[in-house]
Amino acid sequence: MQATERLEVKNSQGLLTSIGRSVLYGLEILGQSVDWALRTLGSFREIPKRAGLILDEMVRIGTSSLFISSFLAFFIGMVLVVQTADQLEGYSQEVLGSIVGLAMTKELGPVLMAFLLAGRAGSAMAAELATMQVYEEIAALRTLDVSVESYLILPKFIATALTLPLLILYADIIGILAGAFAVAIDPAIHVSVNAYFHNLQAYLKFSDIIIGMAKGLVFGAVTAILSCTIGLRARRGTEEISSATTSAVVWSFITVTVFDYIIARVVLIF
Amino acid sequence: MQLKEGVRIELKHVTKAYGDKPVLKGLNLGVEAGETLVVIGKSGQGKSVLLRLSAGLERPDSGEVLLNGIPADTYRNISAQKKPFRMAMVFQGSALLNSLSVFENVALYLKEHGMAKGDNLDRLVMDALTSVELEHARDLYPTELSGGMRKRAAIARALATRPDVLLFDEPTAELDPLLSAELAEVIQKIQSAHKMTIVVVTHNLVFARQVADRIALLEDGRIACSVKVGELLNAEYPPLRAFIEAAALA
Ligand SMILES: Nc1ncnc2c1ncn2[C@@H]1O[C@H](COP(=O)(O)OP(=O)(O)OP(=O)(O)O)[C@@H](O)[C@H]1O
Ligand SMILES: [Mg+2]
Repeated sequence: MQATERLEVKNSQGLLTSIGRSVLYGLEILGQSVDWALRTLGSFREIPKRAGLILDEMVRIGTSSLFISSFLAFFIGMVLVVQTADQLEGYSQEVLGSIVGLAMTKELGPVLMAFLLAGRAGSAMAAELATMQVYEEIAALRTLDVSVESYLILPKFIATALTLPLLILYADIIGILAGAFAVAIDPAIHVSVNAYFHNLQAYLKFSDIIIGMAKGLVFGAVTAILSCTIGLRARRGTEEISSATTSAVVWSFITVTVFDYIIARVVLIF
Repeated sequence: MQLKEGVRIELKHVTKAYGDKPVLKGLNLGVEAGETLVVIGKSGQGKSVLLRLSAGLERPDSGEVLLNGIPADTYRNISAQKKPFRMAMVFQGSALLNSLSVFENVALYLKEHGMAKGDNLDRLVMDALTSVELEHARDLYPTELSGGMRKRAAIARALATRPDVLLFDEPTAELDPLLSAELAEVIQKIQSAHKMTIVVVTHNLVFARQVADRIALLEDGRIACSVKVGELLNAEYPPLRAFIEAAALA
């Protein structure tokens, strides 16, 4: 009897302790990320020196994400049309084009591509830096006076921040075209492809596309810094490499979503 | 920018613990400028920790690690161009950058700090690679090398920086006896050419006797004893004796 009581007390403590620990862990990662971000910004004058590395990273990110992003954007575009058309049953389906266009450019394109980038490139970055930390490559760089922020983080930061907006633009185009394709082949949809594009043109503003791409810039920068920070936190032991990898993806998802809300809110003010 | 007076390393009352596990417990050690000190000690005694502290990669919990009077971690954060002297380290696990070829690894320091380029860079890197018989592997990547080749590439990377202080963690662990003897020769050569301060951690007493001026035994978090290399075989301190006998030197 006494034993079970004690067990319960212990458990409730355990829960609070573990919540507290998660909060502290989150704050710690946040603090370290800000620290690395500032140091990386401080090394911006080295961008010309790192041009080659930046280009390498961009190619790496692009090739790792392009195929899946095409696939993803294509089916999301089609799903948007099919789902929206179903909701609009009984109303006019004339607005399909604008709904697909706005949803794709302002929200789905940026967020989906950011998630994809976190899953592919972000996890790879975290794994790479964690491996370098565990095998003392980072320590070796320090003994060679090579700065981690300038040599390792800066190229990934710039490359991700530049590549994600391009990936988003690409996804927007594929998604909108896929929507048109669904409009053309789906018997349940009663608007013409022409009307779809006409409606899209009438409502989709150039600024919507730009805002979506700007989101990508922020999401890319955030993902790169978080992934690098989490990778560099690894200490000894190879199991820290795999935990850094998953942790980077999860934290990127959370942070991207939070930033998405903040940006949406700020944009609505203007 | 070779220093005339060389670099003196001092560790004063250094303690270092990981979690609640003390590793160094008030360690005192001085390495004279131009001296080659070999540190021996059982596995897990903190020899690698001692080198990382000396390189300023980690800070002691208490006590001081000084390089010509400058705290090692302060020295570490001075930019390459402003450093009063150069220090290189060969890590126990080599720690080559996997994304770079052997050549690029060895060239990294000189290239990064704009100290050599073109033919000059090529020559300096190839000199370093030749001294460890690795010139044929210049375009290979670390994953394509054997353990001993990786170690030699790491040694070449350290030598290419033309250091005033050189820290070696188990340089011969993966080398065959012939290569070990050659490495000893390389070290003796650079040692007499420049007034380099060298700290070598090794289990290889044959190698130690070839390169060392002095041999120190790390035990229970402190330097338990240190002897001039000529007096090694006469040493009476039992743990050191045990090392010598196990290595079948006497
Ligand atoms: N970063 C670290 N985190 C936790 N413990 C550590 C760390 N570095 C070293 N240790 C511990 O400190 C002790 C000394 O480690 P060190 O690597 O210096 O031993 P060593 O004398 O070099 O051994 P070996 O001859 O096997 O290389 C070990 O018990 C090790 O577990
Ligand atoms: Mg060691």
